[in-house]
Amino acid sequence: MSCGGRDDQTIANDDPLWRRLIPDWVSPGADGQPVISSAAFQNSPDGSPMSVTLGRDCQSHERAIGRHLGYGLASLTAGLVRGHRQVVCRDPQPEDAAHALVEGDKPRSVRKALARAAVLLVAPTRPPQA
Amino acid sequence: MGDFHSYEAVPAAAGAGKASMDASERARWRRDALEKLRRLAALEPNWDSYGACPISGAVVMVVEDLLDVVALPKAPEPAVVPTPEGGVQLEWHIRGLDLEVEVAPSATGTLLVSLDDEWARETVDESLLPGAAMFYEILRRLVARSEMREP
Repeated sequence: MSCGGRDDQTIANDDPLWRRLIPDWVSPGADGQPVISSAAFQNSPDGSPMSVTLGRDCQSHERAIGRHLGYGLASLTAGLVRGHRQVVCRDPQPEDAAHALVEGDKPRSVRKALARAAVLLVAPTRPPQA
Repeated sequence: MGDFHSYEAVPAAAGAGKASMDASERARWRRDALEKLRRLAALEPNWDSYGACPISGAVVMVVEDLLDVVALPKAPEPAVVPTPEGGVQLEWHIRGLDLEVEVAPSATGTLLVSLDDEWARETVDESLLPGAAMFYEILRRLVARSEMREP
């Protein structure tokens, strides 16, 4: 799973890229507004690029969250991530045809910038405690 | 890909970033943070649905100690956040000040400290020892900021 450094120009700068959020990646800030953690915008531990869902292709928040009940959804634009030296490419998967990758180094400064720019589309929810 | 059941729900860090607290509140958030840390330690692989690693036991031990360090008098409550590579970071977002203190599984001997102070127009990114004077200086700034009014 890689873009091989090639940016897919068929993905427009204003195309939304959705990233699932676990509940612990969203906390209340001092003003009560939700704050998304920079921890949400990291490449995979195995070294593969950060996975996202192409919002234009998926079209449904519920579909993007899929079976991951309780997760939230954040949105970035392709143009924004490209502005942080990232490339974007499609990477369709059998269970997620709209799957895409955001490839590039993500030092803390980039992770924080992505977290600040992300729009919370769906707030994560917590199921009742056992 | 995992499913919801691979991610054990953790109580919210309610009030993270809230203004300064008295001793009983501080004791309460420290207790809650330790409880949350215990639950994070039980996360299974792929808890984020994107291939995240379980939280390292060595990281948990360091963060337990770190919570004692950051529980200064009037210290605000941190958010306790798991990272995909199996680390934990404490976060505060208070009145123009964003502070992250990460304990990474690859370097549990140091703290990865990242401060963005919008009011002072200052950014700090340092790898610090837990006892470093600079770390305490940053914590004191955090406490002071939590007690200030908007400029």
